[in-house]
Amino acid sequence: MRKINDILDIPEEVWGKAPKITITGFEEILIENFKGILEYEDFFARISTHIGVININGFNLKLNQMTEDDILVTGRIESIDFESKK
Amino acid sequence: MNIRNVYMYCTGFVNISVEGFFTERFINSCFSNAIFLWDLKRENSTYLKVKISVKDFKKIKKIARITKCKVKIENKKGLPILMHKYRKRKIFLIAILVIAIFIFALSRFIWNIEIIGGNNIKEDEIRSLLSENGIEIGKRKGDFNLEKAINKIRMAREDISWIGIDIKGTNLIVKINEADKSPEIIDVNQVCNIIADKEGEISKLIVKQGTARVTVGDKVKIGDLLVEGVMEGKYTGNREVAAMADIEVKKRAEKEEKQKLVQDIEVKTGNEEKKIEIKFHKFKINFNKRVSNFEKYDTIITAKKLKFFSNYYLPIEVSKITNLETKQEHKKYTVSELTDKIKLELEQKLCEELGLENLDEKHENFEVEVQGEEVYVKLIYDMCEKIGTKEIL
Repeated sequence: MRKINDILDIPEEVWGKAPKITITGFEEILIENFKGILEYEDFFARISTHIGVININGFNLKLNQMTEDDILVTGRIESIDFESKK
Repeated sequence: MNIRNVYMYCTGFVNISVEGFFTERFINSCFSNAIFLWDLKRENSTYLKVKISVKDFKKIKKIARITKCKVKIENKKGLPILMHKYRKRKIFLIAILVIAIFIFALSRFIWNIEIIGGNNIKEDEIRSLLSENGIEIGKRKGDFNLEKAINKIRMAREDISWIGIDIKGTNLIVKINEADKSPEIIDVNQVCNIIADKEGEISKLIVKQGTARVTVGDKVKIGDLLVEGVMEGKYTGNREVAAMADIEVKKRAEKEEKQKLVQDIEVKTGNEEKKIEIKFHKFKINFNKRVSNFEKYDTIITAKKLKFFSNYYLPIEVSKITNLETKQEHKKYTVSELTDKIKLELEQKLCEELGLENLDEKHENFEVEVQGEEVYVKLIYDMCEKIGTKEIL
């Protein structure tokens, strides 16, 4: 399956379960293909995906736009780190 | 995101606050039930604010019970809520509808005529031509045939080479291209003489073809032969040709005026009144009914048509009327002051008569005479004028 997709050049976030994270400037981060919110505070957000957890540290964090698949976090983002499932 | 906000505003949304120990669970179960939340903000660890659409709000109660959260409505926003709020203000709604219909109805008419181009053609003439063809301010757009009107105007005026009429909003734009007079066609082989068509003393004579029968300085009368269409040659004999020449005669224009040294002139006192007048098409409203306080005054009127955008004129015209008070004063001029004044006036009058912009000072001569209490000035202006017409033999 992976080989076929490699040949056809289909992006991984389309066929797989990997999230696509788009950071625009220091104040906006869009996570597509996410699973759920584990923790959400004003200064800290833990967002779980199929391959691990994304931790966002910052100030005045807001969850701006949420649908089943994607989430937009805005606010002053200080740092981002990932926790792999393995 | 903005389009979504607009959509949400149209369908209506609710600002809610969620309170509980498991707010994350609440959010996650919202996702799993396909409930759309946005603008989620944490106030403190157990309290958050979020926006939710009206439709989804009904589903949320169940989730709140399961996740043991308290849901409270902060406020409701959007068009449906606004409509609900103003449902009893019928007159307001009717007024808005009436204004909309009124504006729509007004847009079916022409409220302004703009004329572009045609420097030498007077606007009033064009306007009268247009009104003859049924194009007037206040007419409905469909009431006249533009193409027919254009053709008729083109036929009526020779000095218009092209006319275009365009309707933009309630503005009718007339574009005019002036026609240049087509040059006279000269048949070089047509044998002719040049004869005088005006009287005067010849000041310039340039013969291009033919033989001159007059010289510079000669006085000619109407009908005198100026250039004969004959070329004389020693060996070839006399040949008949078409006479061609530039001939100018001196012409004298005179203008005189007599004025008294003591004159009554009108002087502005500096007092002024301002009035406003509003005109709806042909119906005038005066805001100041009473007559002016001043005995003598000049009036300045500046009118302005109201319009929405550049081409959406309304039939409303606001005029500002300013009355400037004047009074009569005796003024005593000195002789030189008065002569200068009369000279200036004479020059202006002559310019208007001759259709010139400026007079050439070299050809100006003044005669000044003081006659008791009066000053008499005479302006003599020498100029050149072309003469000569062809007489075909």
